[in-house]
Amino acid sequence: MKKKELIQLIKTKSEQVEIRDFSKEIIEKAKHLPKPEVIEKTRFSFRLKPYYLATLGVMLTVIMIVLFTPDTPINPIDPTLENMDQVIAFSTLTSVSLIQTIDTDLQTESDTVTLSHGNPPSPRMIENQITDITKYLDMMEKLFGSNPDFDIVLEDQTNPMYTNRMRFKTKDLLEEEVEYAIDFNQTNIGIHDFVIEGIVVIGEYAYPIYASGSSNDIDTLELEIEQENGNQITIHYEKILEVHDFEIKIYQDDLLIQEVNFTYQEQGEDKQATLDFIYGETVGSYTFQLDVEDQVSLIRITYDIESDESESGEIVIRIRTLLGNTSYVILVMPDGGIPFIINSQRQIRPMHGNHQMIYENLTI
Amino acid sequence: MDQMIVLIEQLKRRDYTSFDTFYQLTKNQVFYAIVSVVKDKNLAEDLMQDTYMKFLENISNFKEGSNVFAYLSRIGRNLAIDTYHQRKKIVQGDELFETIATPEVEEDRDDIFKMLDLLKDDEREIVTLHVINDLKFREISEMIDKPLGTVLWIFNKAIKKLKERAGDYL
Repeated sequence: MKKKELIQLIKTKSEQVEIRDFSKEIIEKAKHLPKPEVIEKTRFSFRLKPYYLATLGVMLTVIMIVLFTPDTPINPIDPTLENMDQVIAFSTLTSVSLIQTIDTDLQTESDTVTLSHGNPPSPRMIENQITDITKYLDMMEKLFGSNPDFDIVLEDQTNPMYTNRMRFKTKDLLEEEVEYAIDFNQTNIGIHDFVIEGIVVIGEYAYPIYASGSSNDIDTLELEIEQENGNQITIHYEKILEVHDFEIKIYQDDLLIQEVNFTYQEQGEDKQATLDFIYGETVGSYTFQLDVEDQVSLIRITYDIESDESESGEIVIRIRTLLGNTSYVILVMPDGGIPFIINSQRQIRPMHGNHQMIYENLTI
Repeated sequence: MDQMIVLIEQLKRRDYTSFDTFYQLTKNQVFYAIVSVVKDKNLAEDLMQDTYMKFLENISNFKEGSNVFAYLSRIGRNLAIDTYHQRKKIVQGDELFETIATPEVEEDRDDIFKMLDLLKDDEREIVTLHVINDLKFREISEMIDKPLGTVLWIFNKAIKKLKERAGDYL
């Protein structure tokens, strides 16, 4: 049964239930409700009762003590980054994947996107969203394909500008590895809070990063990564139970262009992610799942787009290798609509090529 | 929706002449928001009256332009949860509503309840609020205080489960 049919079935069955009519009883009771009161605004008068004055006095005393007592030495306890490695790796991988995509977008802004439409029977809302969804595929592939611990290694620093070095690896669905190195300085603020400033290096690319967190809350991290041209990604990361939850904001030329909520979760062999577009031109909610067909990994997406109208459906993404080049073959199956295929160039890591997409209609 | 605005304006003035129309337009949403929590049709119907009374009592707080279906669903759900907690104190059982629900013969139950029974509590509530009550995922996320991603996740899991089994109810 298709999703649309199922939803229609639920709606139909729900309407078949006879619900008793209580409207008369409610009206009868409502007649006894008090009429809405008109409250006249009274003139504000400042009258401090004695106990308020006492409270105020105690508060002022505390403030004075805090202000004028000399700083007492506090045992310097370094906030530790232990157990936060994975959090940092997660956030960095996510932000780097996306910031490289913004870059691609800028470089190809003037490129013509080739569309070879047929005559679809009705407008397909998903078509307008696909370009942005493909930008997240790099990140999805790496999350789905990598080892859970990202092979994180903390190394001795050789760069004199930084004190710490962390390396981790990702693997995509074709098992191709990408290595990330983060060189950073850590500054402790107070007993538990810290900020890290540094660079993340991927191949020939390097991006400044800035992160802040607390050793009291090792499941939360704020991270910013930027390009020289004003492109910036900010991430609020939080691990809620076993769900990695990201609030991602993407800035282009210092302007917020997109805000998404992204979650990732692993349950045994089952890996799943959700992507919800909150702000920006792209809309919809998408659930990504890793699947294997004939020993080949693919990504299945279910989508719901809600605006004035709504649309739902499924997308299957396969990777095609041809003459050494790889591309995505994206099969889109809108519920109740005609399926179609979009071919999208797969980004070559860590550099990204043109983002050309070719649409085809598919007759099934 | 224009009709709804007019109806609410009347209700704000304590004019109940069109309440019946308002009730007919909203009763399904109220009923399902409640029944998805309490899992008992009779109890849900009883709580519907309380939901509407609470809505009318506090109608001055209803902001123009808000989604009245979401607003009513939220009131109904909160009342259902309160009832759940009150009865829990009395029954002290783990499977509370299985204990207190009026036993109904399985064959007599409406198909929708049999279908929703295939789901876990959180799945049933999200499917009900999205599919039957037409609430957006973001509204549901705020209502049940769960991250948006989690709501989507649960919804898709529930749909997958129903796809496999719902054919029995065609």
